[in-house]
Amino acid sequence: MTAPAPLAVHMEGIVVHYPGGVAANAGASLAVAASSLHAVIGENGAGKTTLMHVLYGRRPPDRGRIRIAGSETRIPSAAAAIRLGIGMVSQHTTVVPALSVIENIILGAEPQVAGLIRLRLAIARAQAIAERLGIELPWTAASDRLSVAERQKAELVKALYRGARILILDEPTSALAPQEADTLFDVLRGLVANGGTVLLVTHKLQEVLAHAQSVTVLREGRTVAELATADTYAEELLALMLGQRAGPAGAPLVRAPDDSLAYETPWQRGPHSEMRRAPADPLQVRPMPLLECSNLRVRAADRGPGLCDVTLEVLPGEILGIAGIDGSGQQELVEAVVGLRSPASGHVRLEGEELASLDVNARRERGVTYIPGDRQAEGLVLDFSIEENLLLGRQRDRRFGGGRHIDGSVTGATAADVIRRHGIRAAGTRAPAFSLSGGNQQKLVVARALAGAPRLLVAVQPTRGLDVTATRRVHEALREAAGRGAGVLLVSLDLDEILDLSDRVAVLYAGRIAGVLDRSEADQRAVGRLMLGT
Amino acid sequence: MNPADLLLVAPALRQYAAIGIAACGGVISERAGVVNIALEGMMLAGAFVAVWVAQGTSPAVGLAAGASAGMALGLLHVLLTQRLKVDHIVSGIAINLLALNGTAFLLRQVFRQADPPRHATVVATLPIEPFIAGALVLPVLMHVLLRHTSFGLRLRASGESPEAATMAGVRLGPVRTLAVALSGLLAGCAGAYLSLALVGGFTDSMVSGRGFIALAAVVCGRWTPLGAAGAALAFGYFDALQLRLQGAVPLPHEFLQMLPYALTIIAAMALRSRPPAALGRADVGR
Amino acid sequence: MHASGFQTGLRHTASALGLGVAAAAGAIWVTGGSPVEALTALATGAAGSPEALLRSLAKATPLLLSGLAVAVALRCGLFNIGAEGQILVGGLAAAWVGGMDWDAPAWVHAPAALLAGALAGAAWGAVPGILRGWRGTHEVIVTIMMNYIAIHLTHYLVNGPLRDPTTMAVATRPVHEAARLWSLPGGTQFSAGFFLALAAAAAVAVMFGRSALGYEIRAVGQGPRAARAAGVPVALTMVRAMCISGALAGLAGAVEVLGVHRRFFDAFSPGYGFDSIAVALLGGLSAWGVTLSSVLFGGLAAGSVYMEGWTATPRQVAGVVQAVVIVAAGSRLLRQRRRDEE
Repeated sequence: MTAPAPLAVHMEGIVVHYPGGVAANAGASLAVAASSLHAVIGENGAGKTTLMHVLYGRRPPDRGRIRIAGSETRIPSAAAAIRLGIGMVSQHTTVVPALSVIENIILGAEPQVAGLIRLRLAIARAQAIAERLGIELPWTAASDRLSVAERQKAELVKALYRGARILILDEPTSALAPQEADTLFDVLRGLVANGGTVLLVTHKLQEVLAHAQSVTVLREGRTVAELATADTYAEELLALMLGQRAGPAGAPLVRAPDDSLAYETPWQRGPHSEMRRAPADPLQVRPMPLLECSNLRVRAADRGPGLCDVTLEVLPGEILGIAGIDGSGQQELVEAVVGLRSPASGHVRLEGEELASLDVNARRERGVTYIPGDRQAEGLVLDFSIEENLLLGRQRDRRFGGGRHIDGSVTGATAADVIRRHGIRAAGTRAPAFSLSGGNQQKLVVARALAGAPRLLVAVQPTRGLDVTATRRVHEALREAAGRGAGVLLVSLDLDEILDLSDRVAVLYAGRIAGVLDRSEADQRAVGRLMLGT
Repeated sequence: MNPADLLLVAPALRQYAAIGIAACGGVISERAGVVNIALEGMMLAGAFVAVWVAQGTSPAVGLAAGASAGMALGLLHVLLTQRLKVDHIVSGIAINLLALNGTAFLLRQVFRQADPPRHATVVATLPIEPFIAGALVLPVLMHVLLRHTSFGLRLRASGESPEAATMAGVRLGPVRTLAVALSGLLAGCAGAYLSLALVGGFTDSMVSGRGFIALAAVVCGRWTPLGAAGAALAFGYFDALQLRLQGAVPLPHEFLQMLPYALTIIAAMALRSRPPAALGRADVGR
Repeated sequence: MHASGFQTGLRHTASALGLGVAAAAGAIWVTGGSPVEALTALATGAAGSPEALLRSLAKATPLLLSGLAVAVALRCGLFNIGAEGQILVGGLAAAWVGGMDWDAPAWVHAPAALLAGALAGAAWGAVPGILRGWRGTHEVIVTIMMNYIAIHLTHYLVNGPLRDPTTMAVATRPVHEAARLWSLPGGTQFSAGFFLALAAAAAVAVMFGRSALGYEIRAVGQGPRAARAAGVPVALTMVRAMCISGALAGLAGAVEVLGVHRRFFDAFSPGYGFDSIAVALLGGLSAWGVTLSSVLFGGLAAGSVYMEGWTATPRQVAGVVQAVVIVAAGSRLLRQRRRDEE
């Protein structure tokens, strides 16, 4: 691949070690032609984000060379990257909620006279950029009023305001509805047409093939391929991403109904799947719902809409997916079901029994368990050992002591058993949770939720940040739970995951149920429309 | 007795000046994301060093020295919390202890005040009025600094989200160093005002909680300079009132002395005011 | 903790203390004193004779109880800067009950007075706990303010309603013989309070080692969001931890009053509540660590008084040592807490 014009970005032999000696990048390289949309793909943990942090000056590499527009350079700080014309829209948007939109945009690059900010000039400049992109933003409004999509737009304007010609977008569509993602790519195409260079970090192969001109594949911190998208196809990219570990021996690549790719796993042919489909069978008698939420009204956790008149049910053996843009009321729904938030009105019933007055522990005794969305903050106490983490919430359970004291021999034996059955890789029952890998941490959270054969499993973003193998394990666990007859309430921002697992999909929009789709009618478009409330 | 006297304007303003100046220092530090419970210690160090230096030179030089002493402790706070990543509360407690014991130690060692009255007197004092005027103008200047200058915007961003500020190319180190140094400088000034202007000398722990009252004013004023100044004015007034009412009313004066503290608890509880989002959090980046 | 953890803990403790002593020596030297002479006097005063040792243990008694108080709260993620206020109200409550004309036997009166002190401290600690748990008000602000309220309140009571009119000192009436704690004759001030404090340390160790409540306190301190998601009552646990913390500090005040002073003097605490923060941090927040560090600080306190008498070096040097120790020990401990905030 030789280009006559100098490459916009050329990184070679990038090595980054994290404290503890783990190499996040072990000889990664990246070559991006000017005025193109280039994708960087790889599994979680393949080193994509680290490589982008190197390019944006957030993490100086231990070794390696960086050339921007042909000249070799060092990027010791974000400020230096900005000076080189590099802009970044990161995965978790870095809009400061307490500042106004325009303050966010000019932060660090304020137009000023003697230290005083020239706000009108700043707004005029930002307005000009926004008009070129065809977007609109409320400049002087508080940023915490912006939606996720608007925040992303503000970040785009922010990068361009600083004169960015090379734009890094880290998983930009992960929190967007499909239609919003389309709009974003329209804007990005416009940028490329005007001579800009866009670096798209993603794990969604369809996005890469649809929008990028070229693609770099990372695996275990190394660049394993650099391809033009016209010359490749999804199966090849997936195989490159996974490398040697690709699939269980002999498992063929199959195309799932939603067009995503997966290796065929035993469950797909196993008995569970038959049982799982049962509720959807119109000829069968409709079973009594396991979970019933009716006219549920819940006050907002932050500034979100809260929940407004939500009615839904989960049948035994069913996985009900909850789709929706982040902040549409998912947190309120989950917390009202597991007992962390009391509803303002309405009912939550489990097999007919009203749960509203019961706390988390009482609901767990009745079989409601919870896999929280953020395993490191909500799922685990990182400084606690495996043994202690498994006890979390059950510390007054009679099995582990008299309710007041804790019997160390029982908790130790329980932990050893869980480690064995769930294949958790750890130094022992006393190993602290922070010493486990992300996948093993999640196994621990899932193991705790599955202990005592739950009736209703509430899972929030259960595979966020996990690699393919770990993701598959978690999905299997959810399917097995449903196969045993438990109900699963699956909340995820990953639409692929929802469509892949759910028997039915309920879509939340602004705190209301915008629609419930059967598996047969649920596809990206249909769900996306409901997510946007159109 | 003229009306102004009855309203206790002058004594209230005399008390306000110390609290208000230190509270402005508290606001600027905390808005940058650095908890500053060391205002008390910085004031105490300022008060002592001002007297110490003024002995050999002039009160004006003493004032400068006192302010510098406060700033030095501010820089120590920066070093501990930003470089060495010590918890902000821990660092603040240590600085308060250091100032309390250090000044008492030096009072005995340097001024040979091993026995009571343990008091170091200054020959000449500074006038009070300029300090009061300064203390009234300062919150307005602080307001402009925070809301309308580029340094103020960067400072607020550092306190709300250090990650976002770093990503936007703001260098946290200089911003926070400047903010906390300024905070110490103001607290040192307030201390020097106490010893050089108000009292005319130094005694053990003479700041007697004014630094914590200033911190209370920051909280009651919802971390804004004008709000903090308003709270400091109220506290100054209570203090003057309490002195005036001693013996004059059946209510024990201790209850009036408690009032600012009780009000702060009620205010912190009822206002539910939101401190800067990243206040006291260990920061990432440099 | 395991052997290696204990060893590194010991090493950190030693280096923190070494730094503190070095700073003090520097301060003495700079101001024209003789560090060697002063520190020798300090060591002699702390542990030079059986009597000196007993005096150190006597000084360690309130530090151990209030150090445990700070440690229990900090294990729950709460900074109890209000131990000083809790000590004051606890001491006053004990003096009040101990001074009542009861005619009760010693095994009733003394425990009743101790209980009163613990309850008063618990009540004083409950306020910041409740505000933090249910309103989210930061406990540092509230405990600082509660200290000043306690100072003024006890000042008022001991000057007014509870003042002993027969003496010049600003103090309550002496507590009854029956309410006093056994103490060693002579000037060592060593009392049964020391054994009470040791028992409290054992109780705290058991609480954290094998009780559900201790587990909940640790869970809330180290992973508040995970604890909440798992159904641990976070607010209630915070209140419980602050009540226990306040009770321990109140007990410290009660033991000082019933075992040493025999009455409540205005502002009798020379800042035990603040010293206790250094004690807790140096002790690594564990019950036995706090026990050891309280003895060290007790020795420092007793030794510095002796040093002042013999070498005219101001005893405040001990405070300088404490400031350095707080930073050195605190930086190690709180780094752990920080990890899960990110």
